[in-house]
Amino acid sequence: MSISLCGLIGGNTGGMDCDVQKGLLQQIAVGSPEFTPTDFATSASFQAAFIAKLKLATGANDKVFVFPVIQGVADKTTAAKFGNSGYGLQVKLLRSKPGYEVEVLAGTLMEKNLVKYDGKIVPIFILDSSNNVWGVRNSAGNFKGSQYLVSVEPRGFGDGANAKFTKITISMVDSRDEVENAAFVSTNFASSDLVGLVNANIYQTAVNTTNVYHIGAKILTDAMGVSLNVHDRYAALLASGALWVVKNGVTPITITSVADDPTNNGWTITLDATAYTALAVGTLITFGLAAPTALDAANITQLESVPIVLTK
Amino acid sequence: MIFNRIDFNEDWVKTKTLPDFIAHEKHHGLSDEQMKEVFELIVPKVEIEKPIKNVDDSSLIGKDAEFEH
Repeated sequence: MSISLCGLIGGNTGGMDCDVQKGLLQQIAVGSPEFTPTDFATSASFQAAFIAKLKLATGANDKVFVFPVIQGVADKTTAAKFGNSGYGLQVKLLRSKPGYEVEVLAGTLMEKNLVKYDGKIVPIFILDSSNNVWGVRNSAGNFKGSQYLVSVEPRGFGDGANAKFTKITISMVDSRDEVENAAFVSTNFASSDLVGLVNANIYQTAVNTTNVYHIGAKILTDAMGVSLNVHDRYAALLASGALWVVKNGVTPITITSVADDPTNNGWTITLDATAYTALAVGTLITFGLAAPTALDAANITQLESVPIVLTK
Repeated sequence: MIFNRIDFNEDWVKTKTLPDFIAHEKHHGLSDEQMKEVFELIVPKVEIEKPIKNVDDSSLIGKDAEFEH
């Protein structure tokens, strides 16, 4: 009997009924969270944990950003490289490097934010057509995104001959993530579950009278002079002190009242006069909405504010 | 507490007197009566119970209770 290492280096190759294969790429999510066994104990617990990451404020370490639903895909995997011996024996020199070019529908506003990922190496979770979320299992037994280099090509103008889309190319950094490290969690996600947030820019609707400020929120568009006023939709809901945050640096300033201000299409935010008076002239005061999770709990969905800084 | 689409910070109101509260929040255009109503909803009046007067029942000691038939 020859000496063999096969028993040590191999792995059992027995088949298993209903073993899962990767489906079509359905949606890409970018972010650094690491999900623990508690998070993925059940599909429901993982879905809740994942969606919670979507609703984190920008800047949060674990925030997840989702890209639009994929409309088409081209396999851009770099083929493995082989060399031949003198007698024709094929020897593998380099492993294949997985890569995919996906097409998404994105308006000009969304493209502005997608392009920010161009040239970046980011952790990516992939939702496939079987509703499995693919990533990797790390040495701690946790589930996280796989590292990809991202390229984003904008759509441009139509040419009347070809369907045009924004193209996003993802190239896997470590080929082992395709097989050896690959892991997935089964979900019941619908495409409407994985929706990103929209920026609501805070602005001053009218000049303040000492501690009484007039504040509004609007969603900017690329149409010159056109914006969506958040007040049109959430006038009553945002007349709530719990949904606004006013700070001097990192120190909150007490809000004594918030009132709907239909005259200025915004809200009147009154600050504690004693605290306000104590602030030196020139103090920077930041006005913003509460965190997306708090807004979501108040049925104000999909919004995250871009605060305004005003000078006393 | 929300009154006429104005959300008042209850914790802050509870630290103020009625005159202070009115002076601070009068810019919302509520009448003094409305302001007082808001204040009293947030800071309810506390009624102090008057002590019960001492009843001298020494004349009843040693006598049986009398019942009406």
